[in-house]
Amino acid sequence: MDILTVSHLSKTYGKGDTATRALDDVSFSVAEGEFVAIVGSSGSGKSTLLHLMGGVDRPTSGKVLLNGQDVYARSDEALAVFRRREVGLVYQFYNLVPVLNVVENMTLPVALDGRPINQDRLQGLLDKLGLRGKEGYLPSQLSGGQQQRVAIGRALMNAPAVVLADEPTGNLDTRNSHEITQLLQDSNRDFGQTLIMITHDETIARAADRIIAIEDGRIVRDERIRS
Amino acid sequence: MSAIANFTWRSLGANRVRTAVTIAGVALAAALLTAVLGTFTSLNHFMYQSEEQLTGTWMARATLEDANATAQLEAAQSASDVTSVATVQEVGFAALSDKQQEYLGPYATVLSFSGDLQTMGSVSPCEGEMPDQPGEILLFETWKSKEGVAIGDTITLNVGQRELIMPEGEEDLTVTEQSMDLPHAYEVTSEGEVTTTTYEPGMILHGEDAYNSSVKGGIYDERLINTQEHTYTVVGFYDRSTFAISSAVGQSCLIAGEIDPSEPLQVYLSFSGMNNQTEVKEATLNLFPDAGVTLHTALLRFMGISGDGAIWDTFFGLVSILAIIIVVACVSLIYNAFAISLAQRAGQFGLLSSIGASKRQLRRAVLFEAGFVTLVGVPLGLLIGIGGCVVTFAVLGPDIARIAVGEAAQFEAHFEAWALIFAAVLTVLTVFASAFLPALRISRVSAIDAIREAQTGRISKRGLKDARVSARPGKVWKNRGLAGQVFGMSGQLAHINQRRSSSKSRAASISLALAVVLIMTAGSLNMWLGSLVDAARGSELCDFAVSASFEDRHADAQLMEQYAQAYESLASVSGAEGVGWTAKMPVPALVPDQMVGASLVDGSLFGVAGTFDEGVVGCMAQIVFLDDASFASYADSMGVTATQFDNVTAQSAPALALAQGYGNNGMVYQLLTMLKDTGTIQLVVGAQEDGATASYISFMSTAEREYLAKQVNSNRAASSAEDANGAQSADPRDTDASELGDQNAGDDVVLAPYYFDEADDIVYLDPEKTTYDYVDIEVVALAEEAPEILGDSSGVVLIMPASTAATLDLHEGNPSFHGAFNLSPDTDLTYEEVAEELEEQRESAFAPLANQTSPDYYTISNMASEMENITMMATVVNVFCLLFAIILALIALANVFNTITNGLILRRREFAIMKSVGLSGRQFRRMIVSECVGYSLRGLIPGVVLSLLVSALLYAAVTLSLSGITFSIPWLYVLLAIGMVSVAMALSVAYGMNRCKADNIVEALRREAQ
Repeated sequence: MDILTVSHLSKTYGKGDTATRALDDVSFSVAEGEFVAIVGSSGSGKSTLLHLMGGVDRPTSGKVLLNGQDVYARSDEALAVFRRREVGLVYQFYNLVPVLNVVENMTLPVALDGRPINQDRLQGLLDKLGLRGKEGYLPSQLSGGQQQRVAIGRALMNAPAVVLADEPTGNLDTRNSHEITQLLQDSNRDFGQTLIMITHDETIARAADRIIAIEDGRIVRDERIRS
Repeated sequence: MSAIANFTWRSLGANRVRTAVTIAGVALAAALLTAVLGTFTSLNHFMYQSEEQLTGTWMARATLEDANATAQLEAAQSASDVTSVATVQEVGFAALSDKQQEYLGPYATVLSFSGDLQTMGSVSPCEGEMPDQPGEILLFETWKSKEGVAIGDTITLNVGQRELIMPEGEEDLTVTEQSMDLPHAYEVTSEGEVTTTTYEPGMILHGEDAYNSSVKGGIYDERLINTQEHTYTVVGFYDRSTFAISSAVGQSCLIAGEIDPSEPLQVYLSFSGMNNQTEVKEATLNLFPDAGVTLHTALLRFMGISGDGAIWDTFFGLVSILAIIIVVACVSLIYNAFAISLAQRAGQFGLLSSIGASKRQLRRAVLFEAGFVTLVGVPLGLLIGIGGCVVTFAVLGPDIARIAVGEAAQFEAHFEAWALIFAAVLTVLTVFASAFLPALRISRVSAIDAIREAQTGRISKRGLKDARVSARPGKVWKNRGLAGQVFGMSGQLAHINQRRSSSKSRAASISLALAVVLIMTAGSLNMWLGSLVDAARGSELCDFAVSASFEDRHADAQLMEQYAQAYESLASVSGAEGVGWTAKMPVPALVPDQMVGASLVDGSLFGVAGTFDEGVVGCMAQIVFLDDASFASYADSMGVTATQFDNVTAQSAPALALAQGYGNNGMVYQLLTMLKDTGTIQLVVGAQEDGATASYISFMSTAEREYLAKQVNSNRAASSAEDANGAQSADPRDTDASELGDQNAGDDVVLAPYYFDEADDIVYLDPEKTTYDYVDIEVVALAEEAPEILGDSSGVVLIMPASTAATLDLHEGNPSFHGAFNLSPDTDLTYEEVAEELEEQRESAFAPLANQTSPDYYTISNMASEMENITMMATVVNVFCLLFAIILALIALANVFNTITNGLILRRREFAIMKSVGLSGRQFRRMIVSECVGYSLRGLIPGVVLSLLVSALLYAAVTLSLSGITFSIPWLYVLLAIGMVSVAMALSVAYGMNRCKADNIVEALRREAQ
């Protein structure tokens, strides 16, 4: 069953002569529990695609359907609710809130939604992410790898429909890179978490179920490695 | 342009609003400094000009005993540091006719001059020109207006010397210092020693007052000797007698003439290149070693050639304090602007550093920015400051000039190069001082730290601890804070931000508090100063007050009738409107104890009042006669029937009395209880001793009376043999208080009746043999309020209808007239014109009275113009306060804007992160509103409390001299201050949010991450 459908998605930045078409009529679907790697050279439009899937930007044309619902038919307010409930975003630069500690950062989307925190899930994630004992640390007190784990914890905390990761290891050393990838893969494998990840790393890409290659805003290759 | 300069230039361009706010701050600082210094130089220039116009440009005057100093004078004229020399020499004095003496003084003083006395001595002809040929003369203007002398006429004067002589018939008497107090002349030498010359017959007199033995206390006469007839041609008139040509014995006549080497000479000098007053004095003494030197200290001070003038120090100190306040306010603004701008770009600087920019280059980038801001801001500020001064002084100048010295010079903006340079330099220093610290800080930071600092540099130590505590199981998201309880999750985020971030939010609160304090202080100052002016205004009942009294008149029907007629006559003057009139007289009163109010016997309040007899207090009472109609309406207003006051006999009369009166107990001016009950007060209206009748009766303390008794007795014993000339009798006012002992409240008092004998000496009746006459005044009712026409009064005040005076026998009592008039609302005349009209009408109004007896005195007070002066002064003070407050408030508000917008812009990425994980637009706005409420509570509340404290202190200062005003919280200013600050905050937030919104989440995340 397709959990995410992207149809004829286009995004243009700027106007007139300076307009750049970042995404040009992209369509594809992702099944529930699938692990998709998106590859492409710098500036190919892959980050734009990810943001559009995550509901943080609005497309120039086209649609994104998540769980059968049109993401961009929602108002800005509803879109914000969508972001906290339905997707988990992981960025290259972690993007944690500097004044919130580890658990607060991880549970921020839940708190914003006004729901009680699932303590079992939180404790489980802390253990799994190796953040036990660091609960009260602020981002500035953590290493890059630790910060990225917090970001992943935040993405997974809500058990979202889909986790979107934008080069989550781009800023990390090899060891951390490996561990982070492993964590994301585990969540995919163990919980059936749908995962879409942008990466430059061949090895990581080959671990995915499917590789989508983008160049100049278009899909140039959509290859299913395993099913 | 170097790469660094280029980089800085672009960053300035990219942050146009912040750059503009910084430039505005610098410009405001420069403008304010220019304005303060400009006010200082303008005022100084104005004072200098006034001084120059009033007394001339001379710096030092050398007084030479004789002018046998041609060589010295020539040396002075050719000395390089002397810019001008003028001399004035007395030629002699000419006798004037009796009629001429009335308006010209006893003599015409003839002075000869040389040099530019017009500039040096500010002697300027109002008509014609200065004499420059022998035989020409410049006269005082009354020669033209009263004598009919015209330019081109010739006048002949018998000019001679004044010699001091003994009066006719006393030529053989010798007076010595032992026998009497002889006139002295004091002279201070240049060394500061005082030499005393005693006046003796045969002396030649100069400019001092004329001697006349026939006036009281006079010993000598004088006469003119060696007179010579001179004929002069009149070439001009002057109307202002300045220092250089003033003379105590009459208006001077100026001639151009040769210097007489045998006579004293005044030399007026001005110099160039003098640094202080001692140098001026020394330069003068170098030229004229034996001369007495007088310095023109006021002029020298205004020229900046300082002496030890304390006033100058105060003035300069005041300017310094204002300048310091401005510099502090501006440093805070500019420092904030730079610190925030650099913090915002810390990542950029790290990047620059990582690609090889040296620390010096980074510092230079900051200084380049400072330089640019200065280059635009300072000239702009100077222009605004100059413009502001020019406009302000153009509007207020005439008023200031009137208050200061009566329009002698024009008050206008005047700038001096040093002041402008000083303002500019001070601003530049402020900017660079503000930029230096942040520059130092960023250049110390390592490249990677700088890059990281973009996200991590804003957590406080307390924040770290708080973060740890809140992570404990069960604590997560539990400490909601007040904000969280009110605003939910958004408020909680704001609460966490406030608790954990470093000083940014505190900076916003401090700037809010500062803004409120500045605005409120200016407001309260305005309010309490305003109440002072109101109080001054409130004590004046009318625009014009006319008072008069006439010798040898008594309180009777005729006097009252004549007073009423005089009042009618004055009220008929065009432009004037009668308010009413009273006749008042002080009378000794005996008040029974049961009537005496608490404050009446407080001796420190009303001079002598105390126990006269058992159960009776003696004090001076004031009888006030109101015209019958006014009295009837006053009685009516108190609910007392007016007809019962007709029940008057020669020995008794009913009256109203005031229960309260204003008094100053040395601390406050306040309402005090004088009488507490109705009853009968006995007035002492007459005293006789063996056919001698007292014309005045007063109270004295027993101790004072005993002291006087001794004096009077010894005086009486000596009086038969005593020479009337110079006899000094014991006047109670002259008695040495120490001999009387301390007089305390409630002391015993006695009556002291006295009269003046033919020699005008005071004679006290013998208390043993004196008999007194009394009248009884029945106080029918006590009034809380004095009749409007009477105004504030103190002590025992008895109010009766004027018709009472016809029957009641008050013996010698002679009430004085007091009329009150307002400017008629229908008139086009000014206060001054009406005051003149009243002055002209006065003679005819009081003619029936003055024909009978001689007037003791007349006064006409133009209260309105005094009020106008006070109001004008208040306006000037208020406008200055207001301008100062507005500019300081602008600085404070700019500070608010800077800190709040930058606080938001700096957290742009943080907001984007929160939005990306689901913070909705509404939640975001609620969070910001909640933060603003936090700033306000932490800034406005302490600000308001602090400023109320300031307001209370100002109130306390005002009440030191005035009671009756109650402290009220200046809500209007509280609201105004909060309103202004809130609007500034709202605008800042709106701008900051707009900047945050302008780029979407993706861009914000991307931009900051790179």
